[in-house]
Amino acid sequence: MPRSGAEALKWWRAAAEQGDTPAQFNIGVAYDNGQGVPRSQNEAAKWYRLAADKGHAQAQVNLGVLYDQGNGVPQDFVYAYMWFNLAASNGARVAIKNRDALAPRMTQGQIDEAQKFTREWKPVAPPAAQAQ
Amino acid sequence: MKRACNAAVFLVIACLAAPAGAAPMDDAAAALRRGDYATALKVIRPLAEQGNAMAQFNLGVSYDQGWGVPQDAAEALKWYRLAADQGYSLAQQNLGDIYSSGRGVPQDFAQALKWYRLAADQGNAFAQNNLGLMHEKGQGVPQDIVRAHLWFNLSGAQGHEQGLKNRDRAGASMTREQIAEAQKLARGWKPAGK
Repeated sequence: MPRSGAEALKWWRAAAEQGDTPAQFNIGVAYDNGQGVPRSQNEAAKWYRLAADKGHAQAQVNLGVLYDQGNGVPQDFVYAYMWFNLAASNGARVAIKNRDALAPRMTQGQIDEAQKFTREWKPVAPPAAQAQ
Repeated sequence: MKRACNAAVFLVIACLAAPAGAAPMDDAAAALRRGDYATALKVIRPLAEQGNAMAQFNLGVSYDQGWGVPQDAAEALKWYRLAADQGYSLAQQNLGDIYSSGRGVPQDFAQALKWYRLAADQGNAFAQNNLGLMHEKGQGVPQDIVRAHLWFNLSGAQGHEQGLKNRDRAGASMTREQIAEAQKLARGWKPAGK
């Protein structure tokens, strides 16, 4: 594993562009924190989304946080709740905490809609699986 | 790049350097970087007169700021208007600023609203924030906190600090139902022409 942030980022980017899910998550983290790239929640959201769509629990948590705060994406409690829900069902315990902290700020209609989106959600198959 | 350009409406350089392959504009940008406004204007003015929206915008900035020409609000307005009519979002934003502040023109909230809206619809984060403020204060439109939140939210999503602050400030006095409605509007929003 390369040592410097910039070096690591190059590796991850190459892997991420091949559809590697953890690499996509790592690039999201790099943009989220401004490690080796200029900080951009907008870019972070895009990369988290790619990993989250394939079921990466931590990417789902972090994307949920961006929706909760409205950083890099318009603030949207329904989407935030949905991603926390999905991450929780993937075993991310922090997602339960985040979801419970969010719920009191939502209307019942929003929670119902988020539950519906959660039920309807289907993971995007990783490209490797599609190629087989 | 886009954010840097938006952030400094009167920094012509960043905006001039933006499109690739426009050789005369590259020369003008280089001249501007040296602070050589006279040379830059020699390039910009003929392009503006030929109808190039970016050149028109920059000529407007020159008159607005008095860079290489005597400051002239009427000339600034004229060139901004020509660029704005071609859909140039930064010119629309500056027209919004001019009309809302009444700088060199009678203050006109209806005009300000119109130009901010056109820029905001294209995704201009500054215009979105200012449009939010007009909805919040009821300037040129009926006061509407839900629509104010919508525009602040869209602005903040692009990292516009003021938009984020205004969204949270507005949100603090809104009901959960109002915020839910505003977020729903934001979810359905798409930039114009996309």
